[in-house]
Amino acid sequence: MSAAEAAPGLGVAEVERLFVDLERPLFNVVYRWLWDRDEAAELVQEAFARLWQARARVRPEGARAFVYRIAVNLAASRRRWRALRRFVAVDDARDAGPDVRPDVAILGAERAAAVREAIDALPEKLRRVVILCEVSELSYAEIARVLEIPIGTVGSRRNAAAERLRRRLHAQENPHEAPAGR
Amino acid sequence: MKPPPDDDLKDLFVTLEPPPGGLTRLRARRDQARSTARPWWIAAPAGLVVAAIALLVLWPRPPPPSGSIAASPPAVAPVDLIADRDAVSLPPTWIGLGRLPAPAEPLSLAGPSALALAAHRVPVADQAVVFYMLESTPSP
Repeated sequence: MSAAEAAPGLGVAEVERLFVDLERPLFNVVYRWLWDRDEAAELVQEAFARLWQARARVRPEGARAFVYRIAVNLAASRRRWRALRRFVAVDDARDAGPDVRPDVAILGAERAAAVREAIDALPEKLRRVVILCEVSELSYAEIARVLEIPIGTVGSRRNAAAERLRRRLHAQENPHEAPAGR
Repeated sequence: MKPPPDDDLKDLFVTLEPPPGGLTRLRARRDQARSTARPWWIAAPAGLVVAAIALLVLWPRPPPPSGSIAASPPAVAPVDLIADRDAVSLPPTWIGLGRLPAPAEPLSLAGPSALALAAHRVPVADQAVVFYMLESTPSP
């Protein structure tokens, strides 16, 4: 253990300060999984509740990565669970309004739907990376720690995801153009 | 080093505001968790009691002695054989739930085979297994 590393354990003030710092970026990350404002906010709360439970063994310098990892895993898990419920017709896939989807109010319904579709179409591992890169305010090194992958992989996956997003959105906006080769 | 976000991607990932009152909700949740948490000196004995009950229930019982097979009384008549019986006067589900008494043995089958077969109980060691012998009865 290096001298710069603090002993494990977070206090009330540290957890609250972290919440104030991370609530918005974490909400933005989780929202891109769930596309539901209230559910995303509730999941941020849940991630911090887990941090609070584990506060005795979390080092202050690793707390950001810890809470992001928890939130991303919870969001991915909830998304899978929701897909399963829809598959067995327990849940309806309903179009939500701006109350539930704040991005609709900013981007407009059509653009927001296109963006959502493009992000949803990404493979899970690319989606994790690009969302964290674009909205989390984490560095590549921190993202690598959150996702437990090499830093170089973060960059390559982010570029691959960005390329797919651009191509898909371009195809959606220009449906009559022939698809590019490859 | 993280490169600056591309403008076109920046447009895709607009920054959204979370609902207000997040920190208040977090504090309330934390306080609630604190108040519902039981001290160890209450939780530990309760856990021990639960573990002891589970141990008693799950503890494997010794098998019955081999000589007791013939002497053991036959188990309560099962529902499966009477499933084919007249569903109006003797609904099998009601018998299974104990709302109707099981009919006396030997059990006769309902339907077209009612007159042709009769069942006799064969005692077996395992009380979870019920074994019937079906035989032809003379036609009237």
